[in-house]
Amino acid sequence: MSLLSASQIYENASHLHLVYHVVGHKKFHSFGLSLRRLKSLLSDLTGDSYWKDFLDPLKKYQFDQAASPIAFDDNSCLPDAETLKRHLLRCNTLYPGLYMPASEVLDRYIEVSCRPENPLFSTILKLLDGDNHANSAIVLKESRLVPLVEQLLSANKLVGQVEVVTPVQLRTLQTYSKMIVIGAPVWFPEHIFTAPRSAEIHILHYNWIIKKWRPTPVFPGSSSSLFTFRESYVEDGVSLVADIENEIETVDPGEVLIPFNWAEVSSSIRRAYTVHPQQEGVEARLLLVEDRSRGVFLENESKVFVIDLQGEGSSKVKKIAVTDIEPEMFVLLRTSGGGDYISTLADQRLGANATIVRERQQEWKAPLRRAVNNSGVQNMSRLLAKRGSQRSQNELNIRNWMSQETIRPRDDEDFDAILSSVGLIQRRPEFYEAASLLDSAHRSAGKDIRKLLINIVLGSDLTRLERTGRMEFELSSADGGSMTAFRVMEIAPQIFRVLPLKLTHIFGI
Amino acid sequence: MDGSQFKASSYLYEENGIWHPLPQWSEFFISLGNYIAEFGDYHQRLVIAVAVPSRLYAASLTAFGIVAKNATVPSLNPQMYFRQLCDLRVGTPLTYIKDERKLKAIFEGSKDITEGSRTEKRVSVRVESHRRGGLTHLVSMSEAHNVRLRPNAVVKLPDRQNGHRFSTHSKLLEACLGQDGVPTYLSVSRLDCLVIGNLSLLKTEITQTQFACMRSSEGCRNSGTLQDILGVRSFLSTTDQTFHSEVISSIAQSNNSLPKNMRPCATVFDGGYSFIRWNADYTDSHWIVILDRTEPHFREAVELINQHFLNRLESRELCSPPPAPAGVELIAYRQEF
Repeated sequence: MSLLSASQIYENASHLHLVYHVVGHKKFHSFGLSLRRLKSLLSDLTGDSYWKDFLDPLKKYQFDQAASPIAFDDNSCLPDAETLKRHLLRCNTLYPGLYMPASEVLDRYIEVSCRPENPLFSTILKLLDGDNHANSAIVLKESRLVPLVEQLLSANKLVGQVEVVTPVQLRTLQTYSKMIVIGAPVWFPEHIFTAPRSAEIHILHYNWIIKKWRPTPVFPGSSSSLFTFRESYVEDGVSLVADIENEIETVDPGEVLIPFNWAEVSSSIRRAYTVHPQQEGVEARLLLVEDRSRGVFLENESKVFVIDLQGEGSSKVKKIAVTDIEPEMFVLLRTSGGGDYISTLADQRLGANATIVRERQQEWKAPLRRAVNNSGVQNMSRLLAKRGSQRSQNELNIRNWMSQETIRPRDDEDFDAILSSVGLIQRRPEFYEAASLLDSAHRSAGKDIRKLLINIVLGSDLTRLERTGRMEFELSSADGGSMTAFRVMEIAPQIFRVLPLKLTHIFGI
Repeated sequence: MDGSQFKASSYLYEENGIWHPLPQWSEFFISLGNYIAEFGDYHQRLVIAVAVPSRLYAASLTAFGIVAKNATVPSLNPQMYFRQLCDLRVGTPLTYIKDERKLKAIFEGSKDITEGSRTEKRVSVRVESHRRGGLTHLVSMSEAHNVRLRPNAVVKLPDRQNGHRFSTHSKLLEACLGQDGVPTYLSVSRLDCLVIGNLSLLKTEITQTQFACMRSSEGCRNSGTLQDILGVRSFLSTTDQTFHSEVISSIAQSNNSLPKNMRPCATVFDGGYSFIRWNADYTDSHWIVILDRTEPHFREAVELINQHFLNRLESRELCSPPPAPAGVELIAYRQEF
């Protein structure tokens, strides 16, 4: 909330200086070209699982190297050459005509991946040489690369002086004396250049993916001249009077990007998580978090807490409908201890009734479990169905009802069928009342935990959350567990039907 | 400050305990507000959308420009206004301003008063109940500006009425409107402008930041907040204060908080989300749409604006809004209400 910061941003927008630093590396270039030739030969086959297993790690390596200054031989980004070699052994049999170009890619990869240098980092060091690097930022496309670059800076005693940021962070009012953008400008959202957080932006990219940024007016009839900026060019450390034509074979920057394939992710998620129509499932939205590598299901008709970094005071934490969640928001999820703590708090709320209410619950759960153990879940399913249960045909539902996590079946007819089958139907009101008390106590306890967590969130420095897209908030009490805020990267376009116990749990994609 | 005479160089704002001159870009947003306030054609909607590098203060300053301009629009011809008052139905509820106090009143007709050789028509304004004598003021044409129609019906006049003193107004308000303009401004509520956006951010901008006018003749600062001029209804501390604008949250469930039967002259959508969510609710007012280039809904909102542009009335060249500063892209067009 600062007029001074806003003025600085307007000032940057009116005096923007873009400096293109073009760097070359023959071995990395050769690898890129061999990869491109293979993809071109494969054409439609690139989606085939055999080729995906071979190409995906290499494409990721190419992108990571072009989009960050980490060394070519950095272990954290290296696909295993031996695995790829073994994979390629079958190629001679499966695709004999493609063996040579595929081997060529692997050879080029092995050549470059043993090199300890990265010309992008050498250029960064030159740019940060001297005392003028205070308040500088390195801008990366992917937040998963941030820790690696921070390590690199730390090893070069630059940590703390140079920030490593992603485009999302450049939405705040923080401005820099110098920004170093790694990769092709088209990889970045346009606001990096049209709402610049620095008046001096250095764009570092390889000579084979050159692609200049050109402002595109958003309204019809607007003139592109409304963006006033100057450009200069530096190739391998030497200033040029003007941009030069590429004399080497280039690659479209879009080809280097790793596209996100929703169809592929959705189909594997459906196979693993969606429920049969007879199962007691709920409609849920799938959110991808942490560089799309992990996901979480949230019940479609529920609400969730989100952190609004732009909000002030208590409005920083809001509860919104799951249907209103959008990419880039931060959702707060309980990631450890929450369930147990809820039970403890719920028992406190129930007071003297706690023991009785829990006993009532065990009175029908225990015989249900025994019956399943003795006669098998299929027999129990048939018995419950005979007594009017609609959802007992699915064995998973019976297992959910047996579980301590479930207070009672959602539908009365299922609950009645259980009570009847374990010989407790005459005392129906007692069990319904106990379940109702327990449910209400759990809800109330859940709300209190959330309040506690909100206070902790409000007292925390949220810059790490902004930078890494994830931040854990520990509760002060020992058994309080934790809540974690995750940046939402993608939201599945379709609704999934999943088991309730799968909701709000983070899982790997 | 008359909106049209606004010069950023005459104004200051306080940040970190230091007074800074108001930046040039801020002048653009105030001028934009002035422009839309002056447009005033109630048969056509003027739509102005701006793509900005930061939304900060853009909506607040635009709203300031609208309210400040409306407050300084010359009132009706005094003779015509006096004639309109005389033609009111007896019993019409009024507000009467006397000695910087605001009184509930009822119109009791007009009378010819003879003083010496001169006969003058006066408006008869009763401010107290008949039971205690029915104190009535006879207001001349020269004082007619102190008589205002009251938007909400007065049901009953009190036996005795001291009236409400105008809330102590800030020096900034006085600097903006001039000493003479303040009583009129403070006497009547109206909805010059509605701002829809992030409520907490807007509240901070409007009520926390100190602005000041540096008068060259006096060399003194007249400080206050934008709220002193905007009079945002929901940010007022008491219900008897007059309002001139309203702010609602873009994530609000409804816009029920708006005064009934009050249509804003202009709606400022602070952000793409505000515009996407609320544009259909305010089709009967002018629009200013602030689109921050960094916000997630920027592209979607731009597409919506451009779709509206296809249904414009005429060539946008017929609109001539103030020139945008570097880094700000602007589109202006007219539509049927």
